[in-house]
Amino acid sequence: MTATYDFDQLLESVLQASGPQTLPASVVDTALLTARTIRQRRPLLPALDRRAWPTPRLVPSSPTSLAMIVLAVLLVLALLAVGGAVGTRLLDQTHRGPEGPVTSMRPVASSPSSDAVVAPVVQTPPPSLPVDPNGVFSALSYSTFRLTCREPFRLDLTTGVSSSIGDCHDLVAPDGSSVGHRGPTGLVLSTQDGSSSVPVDTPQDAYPMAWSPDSRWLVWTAAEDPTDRPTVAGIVSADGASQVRLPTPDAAWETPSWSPDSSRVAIATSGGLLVGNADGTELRLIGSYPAPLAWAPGADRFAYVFGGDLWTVNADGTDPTNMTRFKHGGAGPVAWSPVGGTIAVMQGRTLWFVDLFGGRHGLDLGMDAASGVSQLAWAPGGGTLAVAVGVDPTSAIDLVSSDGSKVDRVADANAPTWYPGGQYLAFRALDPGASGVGIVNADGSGRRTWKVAGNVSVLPMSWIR
Amino acid sequence: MLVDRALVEQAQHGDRDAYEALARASARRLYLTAHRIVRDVDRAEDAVQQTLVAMWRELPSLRDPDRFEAWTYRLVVRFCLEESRRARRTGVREIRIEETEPARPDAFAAADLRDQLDRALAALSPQHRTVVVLHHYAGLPLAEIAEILDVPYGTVGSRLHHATRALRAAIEAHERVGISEGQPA
Repeated sequence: MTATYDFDQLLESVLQASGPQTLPASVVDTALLTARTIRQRRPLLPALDRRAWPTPRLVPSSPTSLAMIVLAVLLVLALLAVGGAVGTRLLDQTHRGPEGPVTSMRPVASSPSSDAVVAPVVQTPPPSLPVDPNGVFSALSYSTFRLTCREPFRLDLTTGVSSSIGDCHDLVAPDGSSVGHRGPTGLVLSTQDGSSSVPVDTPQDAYPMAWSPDSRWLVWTAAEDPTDRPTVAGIVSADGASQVRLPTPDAAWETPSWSPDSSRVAIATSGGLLVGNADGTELRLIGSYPAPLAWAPGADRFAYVFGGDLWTVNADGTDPTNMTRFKHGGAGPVAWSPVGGTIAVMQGRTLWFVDLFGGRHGLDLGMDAASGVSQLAWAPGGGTLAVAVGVDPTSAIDLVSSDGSKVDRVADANAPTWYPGGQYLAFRALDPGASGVGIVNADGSGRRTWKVAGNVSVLPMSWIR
Repeated sequence: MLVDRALVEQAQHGDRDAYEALARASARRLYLTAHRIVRDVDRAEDAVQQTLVAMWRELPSLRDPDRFEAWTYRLVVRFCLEESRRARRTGVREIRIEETEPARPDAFAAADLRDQLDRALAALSPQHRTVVVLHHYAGLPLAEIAEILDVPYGTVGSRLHHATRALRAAIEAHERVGISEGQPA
């Protein structure tokens, strides 16, 4: 029998026909009854979101409510007067722990294209950011997502001011120097300050996919039919001078995996994994490997999960090696230590440190890990591993020393991003009522949080200058 | 489904009648989508009920009322994936027993093909099946699915590609068996 059917049509027809076509009214009625017993969750500062809420009325609607407000204010003042000294001490303890400021809620400026607004709560000194060999990274780039729009922002940690640095789907280079964005005829590369823009020869629907860690190269992808999957991709240098169109037709592109030194890139395609140099030269299909991959620091080998086990293989596809041979499989996220000798891999709630000879030791991270680990991130020196455990809204980051002897927890957080020198960890903060962006010291102490407008994406943020 | 923006705004400001009108108008669409993701009547009903309750509770956080429909997809997908995780833990599987009309001989091949595709859909991971359902059933473009799932655009494309490849492979394997068993073309 030959394939005489239209696959998409057949699939849509099967989806249409499968399952019930009606919903019992009792299901909706029960939900509505439940909803009647529940209050709506209002944003803490709804008046600040000018698009969703009307300007608050400063004048109460009736003399009765005015009197009640005045009474409430007087009552609060009286309480403060009585307990002033105690209150002052308590407030001081709340915001200043033994090692200095614990929580910082800074004002975030509203930019013309954003609705980033937040109330100033406490003014605290900025973090004392260390000098990395490449300079001081005093800002974070992060994204917020709204339906059909993911927008990049820059949060200046010294001033607490957040500003939009691009439009929907723009992708900012890790060092913040360049932005890849969608132009009217295809991909456009711009400097962050907008002083120069270079169009790239791409289909109209091209998206920026992934910058190399050194911000010199960008992988883009495009669907020639905007309603279909991506089929075309390329690599372009940040200045647009070097462009390579990737050779495989009908490519479906997982987010590319760059080696830590930015020398090599691996891209999943329909024909297998395409591995080559950062500039798009010497690309070779080396067979099928499931994404995501974790590169060795020397870019000569990478790790991946297959059949429930951790495997490593040379970058040319030779010498695949099963590193774990778990009895029941179940290997999950994987990360190769930046100092090379150890690979971290999750298996259920257990974090394994696997050495290159197959020896390993494990650490039970508890029930939060059992519900899901989304990311493993080694600190640059390889001494600590950040493990994002749990699912929203109960996510946390466990900071585990490489010998497994110490675990510190950063609560209400995910998407760990290390400072280039390893002294700080930035994260997506999920503080109740004040979600945004936060940083802690490498040992998890000294938490500072900046509330920002919008939903911060779980996509990686980066430290920028 | 065209949703009245004013109705959404009223519901956002606590108007329960407006919310109930929205909930009733959205429930079937959400249920049919949920069932195709979780493939179980009870779990789809649970996911829809949770979605409708969350819709009321979270409506004030919806920034753009015009995006109501896509926002409800985000909610229902979230609860579907939670239900799927729960199903994996408890190992519950739905077994559908249906009466079917006797098929005509020339309908065997087509029905068999559809059945094979349906089984291949069931074998996909919930994440891959979600992308297939949102794209091929709900008719959403990949960019919108990427935002609903909060994953990169390329990841959606990749999931769709791998899911499609798995579905095609299942059909092709079935066809090869059909040829070897001498089934009619």
